[in-house]
Parts: sequence; structure tokens; C-alpha cells
Amino acid sequence: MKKLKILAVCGFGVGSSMLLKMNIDDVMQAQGIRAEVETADIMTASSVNADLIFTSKELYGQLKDKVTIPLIEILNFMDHKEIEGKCMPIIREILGQ
Amino acid sequence: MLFLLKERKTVSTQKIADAFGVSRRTIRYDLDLVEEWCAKNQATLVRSPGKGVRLETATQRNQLERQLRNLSPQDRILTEEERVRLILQELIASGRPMTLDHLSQRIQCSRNTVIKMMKIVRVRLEECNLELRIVTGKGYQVAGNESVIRRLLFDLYAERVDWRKLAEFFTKKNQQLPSYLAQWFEDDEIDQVFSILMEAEEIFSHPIADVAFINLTIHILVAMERIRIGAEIELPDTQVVNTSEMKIADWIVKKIRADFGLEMSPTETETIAMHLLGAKLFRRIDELSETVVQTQDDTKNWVEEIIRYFEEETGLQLMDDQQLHQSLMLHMKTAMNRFRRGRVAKNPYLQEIKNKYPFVFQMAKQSVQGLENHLGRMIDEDEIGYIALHLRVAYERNAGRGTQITALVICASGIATSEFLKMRLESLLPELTVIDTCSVQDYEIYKDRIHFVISTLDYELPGVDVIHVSPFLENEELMKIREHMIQAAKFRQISDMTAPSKSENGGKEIMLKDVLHADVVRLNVEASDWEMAIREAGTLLVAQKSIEPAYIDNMITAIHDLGPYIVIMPHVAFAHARPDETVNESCMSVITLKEPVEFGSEANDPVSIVFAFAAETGASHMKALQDLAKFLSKPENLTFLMECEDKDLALNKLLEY
Repeated sequence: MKKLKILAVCGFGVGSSMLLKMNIDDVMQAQGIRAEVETADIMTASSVNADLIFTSKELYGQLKDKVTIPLIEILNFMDHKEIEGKCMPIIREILGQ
Repeated sequence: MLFLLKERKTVSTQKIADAFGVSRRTIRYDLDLVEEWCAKNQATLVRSPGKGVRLETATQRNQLERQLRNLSPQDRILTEEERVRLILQELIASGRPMTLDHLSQRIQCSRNTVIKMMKIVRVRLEECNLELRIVTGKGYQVAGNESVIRRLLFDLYAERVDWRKLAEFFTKKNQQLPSYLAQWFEDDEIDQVFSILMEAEEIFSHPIADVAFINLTIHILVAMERIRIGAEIELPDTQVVNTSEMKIADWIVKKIRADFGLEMSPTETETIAMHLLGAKLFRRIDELSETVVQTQDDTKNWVEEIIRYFEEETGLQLMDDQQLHQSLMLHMKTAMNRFRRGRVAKNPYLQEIKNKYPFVFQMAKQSVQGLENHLGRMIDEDEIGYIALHLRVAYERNAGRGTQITALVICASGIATSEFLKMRLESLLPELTVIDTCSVQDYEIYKDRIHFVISTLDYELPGVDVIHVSPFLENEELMKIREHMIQAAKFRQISDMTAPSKSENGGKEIMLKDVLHADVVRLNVEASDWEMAIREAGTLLVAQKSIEPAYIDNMITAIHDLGPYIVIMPHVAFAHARPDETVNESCMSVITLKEPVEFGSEANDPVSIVFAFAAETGASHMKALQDLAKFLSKPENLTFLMECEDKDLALNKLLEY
């Protein structure tokens, strides 16, 4: 199975994106998806090579015109169900399942 | 004849007799035979009375030489080894007892010679647990396990096969079959079996490598030979029952029945399936990964044990690596059978693997110790080499997740010795990255990027292991470095998270309890709007000099610029800004609000809990955030915190994780 590269994006790539990353990690592990989740700040996010980007509702609007890869907005960074529900259909599509 | 071919001119019989150490009379007899053979092979033996003999050829000399090499046993004097093999072949092939007379006639030598040879034949048979049985009044017979007999027969044939030539023969039609094969098997029978296998390859799109293909052809021919004389294989192999190879084997057996009128038992079919499985060893690894093998034995457990061992030693996460599981599974499936029967698949790359990946090879060797105990025998290095290859491929696939293990080479005496040492290290331990060579003064520059230091000098450095070696890197020293690499790999993931930090913590990871204490927690704070809430939370950090006041402004500016994205979940704001010079150390504070405020977050307003957080460059605060994430993931914790009136209780709750 292909290993996904996932980006968690916040304003500076150190605080909330780190929290988001941890929750994405948990979801990926629970779903049995091989993924490498990294954090990035909003300025560099569009230039980082990845399969999928997670970010907040506010940053979603600023990112969506800059990236061509799937972008997922997460309202509650701590909510595994929200993360899982929004990303799994897209991940299955990427993995061709 | 080779002697004559080489001489090219007329040679006296005396000279020939001297060259071979026999009498002139013997030579004269032999020359009669030579003359006879020449007549059939476009050559002439020219006898000049009183002078000697000379060989004249109508064709190229080297062509004649080739023909001579392929002389059939009837046409030449055999060596002792050839006679032994022929006797074995005859005995096994006939299936009935053979008398000395019969044997001497078949291999064209005297009874006495056969009697002499039989002693060697007996030893040969005993070596592979077979018996040379004497049936009174009837002669000699080979007795023992049928699969062992077949393997011996197979080896007798296979030993003399020139694989490259045979592969050429099989791939290029219209080529002449090598004569040794033609004399063992019926010509059209080989062709027939060969085309059955070709067809099977196509129908099932199951490519078989050339070498395996020829092996399988010979195996089937041997099996047919044995079945014709009533010898059936006894050992059923139930492990192949559900494999796709079994389907192919079924089809092959049906074809053989149709083409030769030969009935093969289910056990024979399973044996063919086993050979097909074995043939996979020769296929490319990436093809293998697509195939899933069903197993009924404990192979799966051993595969997992090997992977688990390797995972523990390297610190890589491999249990979810499907590709590694499948390829190793497929390999072990056939390898386990070899281990149990004490057979070894020779590994042509063994030396290369040992030289290039000594680290992985060593681990592969250790990873099968449990299996060795279970089997009660050692596993050959050739086999370990294969396992190492699988692990190595997985290692490469997964190693990118973390940083490489990196060492710094330091030699105070200058560049020359360190360059030499670096070269030695790179060739002996390719897994190790040697980032630079430098003098001891330069150590400060690199200390954050390395796992340990290798040096020819005897000194200690603060906060890092120094491995002392000689520039020639003795074996013992190599072992020492390898141990350090294993250690470094084990702690790699942790150390990656606790990357260099500029704080007094000296790179130690920061836990939530290191940053949260009574001075940075305030409950029921009054704040009229979100800006004020952030200032209240930030002030606690300024008070303990963890941040400069400017950092608070930065947190507020961030929200003005980027929106209230820091409201990461309902009721919780996680305020922070860019790590820069306004941050003195990683820190965090938390306040709860008497009256909730709006941050402008559609999804998560209103906010009652505000964290202020500052990070230094690097990721040393990872652990603290992990602890916090655990706390936040439980809704009841938030309710508790929002309603809590007692600071100590709140703090205790926060630090529970």
C-alpha cells in the first residue's frame, strides 16, 4: 500500500497544527493507513509536496486557491470522528480502493 | 583424438604411447576405434606406415572437438566418476534388480570393474540415506524413500546440465537438443513436456524463470520415468492444496494423462505444485508482492517474529508494511520446507549482501534464532542472505520516515587519517551516514546533527558517545560501532522528536507538567472580548519571563491576519504565534473565562477556555502537546475545567495525562 504524505497546516506550523497532526495520526493508525503526517505553516504549505492537506475552516479559504491537492477543513481538531468522516472517502480514492 | 587434433602433423605411435603412458599395442587398438569414429564424423585418420598417424578433418577442428566432448558412453572410455553415475542412473531407472552382467553390458566394462564400482555406489547411496539392496538371484536394487531417490536422479541429470546452453536450447526453437539429454530421455518426450509447461505458463499467466523451467521439466520427466516403473511418491504435501500453483499442477497432470496416457496420483500433482512454488524464488520480488499465499502451517508466525525482531532493532514501524509481509511470507513458505528437509537454496549474492549490508545481515541472522531453536538446526547463511534481502528492501522503503543514523568522524591529527577512516566506514557500514570529517574544534557545529562520534583519539566529549577506533577499523571496533547504531536506531524516533533545543533543558523533551503549574493557571477570568482573553492568558507567561510582551501582540495579530483558526474545538482557543526571538522558552498557560467570548469562529464559538502557547524552534514541546491532546480529547475534561472553581483541582486534572 502506498504511504500517504499528509500535511496538517496552521498559522505557524508549531501549535494547533501539531495538535491536529496527533489526532490525524491516531485516526490513520486506527484505520490502518500508512501515512506520514507533517505540520506546516500556511505560507509554506502550498509548496510542500503532499497527498492531502488538513487545516482549519479559517485557513481553508486562504489555502484552497493555492493548492491542487485535496484540502480538508476540520472544525474540531480534537474530533476523531470528524477527521475520519471527512478524510477517509478521499484517502480511499487516492489509494484506489 | 584430442591429442592428434592438437598435434596437427603426423605423430608416431610410440610418441602417443609415451604421452599416455601405455603400450604401443594399446594405442594401435585404440586407433582402430578412432578410425571407426572418424569415418562417421567427417574426419579421416591418415596412417603413414613407418611414420605414424595424422588426423584430417573435413570440418572445422573446433567443431570436431565439440563432437568429441559429447561422445556417448558407448563410444568412449569412461572415468570412474562417470561409471559410478551411470550405474546409479541405470539402477534407479530400471526399477528392477540388475545383475552384474547386465550392468557391465550397459556401461560397457568388465564385471570386475563393475564390482569395484559397486563399492563406491553403495557409499554414495548411503550418503543420501538410500540402500543398495541385493536381491538373491536377481542382482542389485536401490531402495529407500521415493522422493530421495528422485532427488538423486534429478541431481544426476542436473549436475551435467549446462544451464546456459539448455536455456538457449529452450528459448530458441530449431536448435539441437544437447546430446546428454537426448540420451537420457526420449527426444519427443522432452519436447512434449516442454510445450505443456509453455502452455501452462500462458494459460495461467504464470511466468517461470528459465532455470526453474528446466528444473521443472527434468522433474516431470523424472517423475514420469518413476511412475512408469511403478514407483509412487509417498509424502503428501498438504500445504499447497489451496494455492494457485495447485491449479496449474492439476492442469499439467491432465495434459500429461492426455498426451502420454500416464496417470499421476494427487500426491504427484502436489509435488509438481511444490516445484512451481519453489520456482517463484527465481522471480522478481516486486512480482511476488502481488501474490498472497495461503498457509496452514506456522510460517506466518515465524515471518511475524522476524519482522518484529527487525522492527525492534531498527525502530522502524514495519508490522503494517504489507509488501514486506507478503514477500517474506512467500519466500518463507518455500524456505521453511527447505529448512525442514535440510536443503539449501544457494545464494549467489551472499558475499555481496554480507559486504554491503552487514548490519541487516546480522539482524536477519539474529531474527531467525527462535526458528533455529524450533527446527533444532542452524539455518544456512545462504538462506539468511535471502531474508536479509527482503528486510533490506523494507528498510530502504521505510527508513525515509526518520533520519539516518549519522556519525561524526574526528581526528585531531588532520584530514588524512579521518578521510581514510571515513572511506573505511562507508565501505564497511553503508547504512551509516558519515556527515563530515573535521578537527575536534569543529565538533560544536555538528553536535546537534549526529548520533555519536567516531574518533581515532582517546578523549571524551560532553553529551555524546565517542567510539574510539584505529584508522584501520578492526573487526571488534566495527562491532562496537554496529552496537551503537542499533542503540541509536532504537531511540531514533524519540530523539527525532526531541531535536536540538536552545533552552537550558539541553534538548530534553518537555512534558506538560514541565510547563503547566499553579502560576500559569487562572480560573474565572473576566474578559470583555477575545483580544483581552488572549492578553490575560499571555500575561501569565510574560510574568515568568517565558515570553516578551511582543509575543502577545503577535498572537493577536495572527488572528487578525489568519482568522480565528486557533479555536481548535468547541469552547477552546489555543493561542500561539511564530517561534521567534520574543520566545525565551517553550511555555503554556491556561485560563477559564467567567463569561464566554466570541472569537468569530462559526463552528466553535463561544470560547470559555483559552490556552496561550509559545514554542521554541524545533519540536521539543511535542510531548507536552501530546499530553494536552489526550486531555482535550475527552469532552468531560472540558466540562470539568469550565466548571472548576479550584485551581489545584484543575491543574491536577490537566496533568493527569
